[in-house]
Amino acid sequence: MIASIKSRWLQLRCAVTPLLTGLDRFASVHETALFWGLGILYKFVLDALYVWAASPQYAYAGLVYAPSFFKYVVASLMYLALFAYLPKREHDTVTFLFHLQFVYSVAPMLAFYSFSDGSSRYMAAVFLCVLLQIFLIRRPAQNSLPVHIKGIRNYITVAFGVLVIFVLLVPVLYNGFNGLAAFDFSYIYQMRANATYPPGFGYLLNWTGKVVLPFACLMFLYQKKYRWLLAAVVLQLLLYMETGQKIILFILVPILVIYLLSKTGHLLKLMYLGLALLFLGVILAYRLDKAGQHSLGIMLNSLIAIRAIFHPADNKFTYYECFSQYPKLYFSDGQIGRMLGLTYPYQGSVGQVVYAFTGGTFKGSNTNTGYLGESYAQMGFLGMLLMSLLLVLLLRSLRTYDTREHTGLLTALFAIYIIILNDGALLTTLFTGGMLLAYLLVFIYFSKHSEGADNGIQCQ
Amino acid sequence: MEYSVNDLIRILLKKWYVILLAMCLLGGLSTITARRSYARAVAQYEQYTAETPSAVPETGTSIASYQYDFTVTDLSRYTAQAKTKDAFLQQYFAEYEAEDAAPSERSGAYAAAEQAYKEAVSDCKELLMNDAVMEKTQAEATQRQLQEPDTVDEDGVLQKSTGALCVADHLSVSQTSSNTFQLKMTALEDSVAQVLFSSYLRNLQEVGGSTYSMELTLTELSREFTPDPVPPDLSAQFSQTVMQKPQQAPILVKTVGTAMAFAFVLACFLVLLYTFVKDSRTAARKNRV
Repeated sequence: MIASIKSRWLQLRCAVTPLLTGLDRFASVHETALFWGLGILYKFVLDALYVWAASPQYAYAGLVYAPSFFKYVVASLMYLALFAYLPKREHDTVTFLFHLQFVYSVAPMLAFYSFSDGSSRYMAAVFLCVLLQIFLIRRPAQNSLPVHIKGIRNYITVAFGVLVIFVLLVPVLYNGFNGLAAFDFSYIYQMRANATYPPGFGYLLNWTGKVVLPFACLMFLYQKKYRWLLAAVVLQLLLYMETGQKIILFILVPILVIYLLSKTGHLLKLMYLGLALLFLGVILAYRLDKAGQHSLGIMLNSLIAIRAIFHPADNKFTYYECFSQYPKLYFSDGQIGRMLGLTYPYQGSVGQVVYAFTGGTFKGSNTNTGYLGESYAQMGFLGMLLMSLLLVLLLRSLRTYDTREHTGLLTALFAIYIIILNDGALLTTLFTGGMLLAYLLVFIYFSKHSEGADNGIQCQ
Repeated sequence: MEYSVNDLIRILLKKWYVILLAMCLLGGLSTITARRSYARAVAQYEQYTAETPSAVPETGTSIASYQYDFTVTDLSRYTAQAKTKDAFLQQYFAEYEAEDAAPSERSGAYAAAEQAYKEAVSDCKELLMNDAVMEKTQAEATQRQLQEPDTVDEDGVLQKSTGALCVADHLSVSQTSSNTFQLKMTALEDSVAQVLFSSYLRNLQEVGGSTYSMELTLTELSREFTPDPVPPDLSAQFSQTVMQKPQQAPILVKTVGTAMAFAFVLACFLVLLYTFVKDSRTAARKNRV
């Protein structure tokens, strides 16, 4: 039976390989034309997604349709300028991450700006920040060698194993186990509202769900340990079922897809093509659903077009509107504020303040935003500039680790933070979200010589 | 470049003075920033939560009631009408040769006079709402360069004046009894309303004299001004909801202690980072050589 499956698989591979080789050759020969074609296709599909799917369903809560011809022209020019200036190198982690930021955060903001009469000042500031980032990533990297921490890999592996078990046990002990009910996306809000955890557990949960287990999945895939991979995926699913945090469930999809696509050598092009096709699918599903009164299209539209793409864009503009009228935070809400003894001016969190600003009940909910919105709330345009620079410095530092061997791993691991940064502040993502931990993992696990060195557990 | 944990500790111990310096500097800095931040937060709280008096002029509804009487200075308008009627009747009776049925001259004259009075009363009523009066009032308002008032929309945002005042949008005239009428001016300041009332009454008398040969006697019976409800200062209300008044000034020891603890972590991180970058570049340069 297994032999038959294997032989069929081999036959299939033999049949498909010439086709893939031909496609690969075509993509390599016509690379520039493909880049531009896909970039322009993505822009129009994104516009269509707003006009025909996101806005009709969510106009009542912010995604209004109030197009401006002038703003559409300006936004299109900004899109083309940024796309033209972005380096278009495959097998380059930093280039991919900035393309991902462009398609996932910046392009939706441009579409939102042109179709719902967003602030031109804020859009111009975002454009300049991204332009500066691209300018910096285009500069050649400093000649330096990668830094590794040797000898603690095995200790860390054991520590992470203990951490995962601890993090999986605590939610069950505190809140019970909801089982498959967690896959009901309306029920999870109730789950999350009722959940209680011990103090400080949030950090461990974040690090386990967003760094440790995803990193484990990637490493097992990289080492072709598929049973361990399956185990890590199951643990990730269990963690989702215990906590109801959607990001823990969905995080594996982009990680694994990006890792696998990076093997093709056409990750950038496939990202534009894949997202354009995904959005076309969402538009089609939503339009058909509207006619047929089913719910799949509406759910897809809610999850992808609204929750992932345009709602974060809307929130960034809302943050700008709110904090251009009310006192800025100057980092008084976080660890920098604690360090410098700064006084926080609000009663609730920044997200709760912005939720109240949009007309909601104060402390009724949180309006989260990405680093480009949050940094405006901290220090205005200067804050946006500082955070943009910090992100570039952080991502540029990956260049020394970006070997052919590790590109897929690095790209998949750090792509998650670009996705998280569409909804979260940079410093929060760095410390609480686990981005810094991911750097530590790179320091420890990406060295061939770090296994079983002096002060580690000897691995013979 | 590879470092063991021992290497990392060694690097930190080697640069202990940098870490100590950073702790002292940040500890000292925090005393300044904490005080300044507290003072700024208090000032901002006061500034943002204070209900600022509206910059919009106080508009409202002005109502004035007047009693009016009239004297017709030239009755020719009404006698001419009576003569026309009389001529018609005479012609009518002549054609039917029914002179006996003709009304007596005296009763005919009395009826004509009564009719003339009725028409004068009707003219006077018509005069109160005559378009020419409104046009003249509008012309005077334009001449005085009166503007539509600034307003506040439902979100509490000030909307600037849209241009020259359109009197007809604000002024209405109604007859309240057989010899009284009311002028009502809405959404304007009382002083502007009084100017326009005076203008309207003056024009009423002018048009009455020129069109109906009437002299109007106007007696003001009452006048009142009801201000429009003041729009709430929504910005201040929002600030009162979301902002908090800083409860107490930062405690010096706690501030410095926290700052030094954070500074220790930050300085260790920066020392390691600096060493990594420096060693890494040096090694790369050596490799190249």
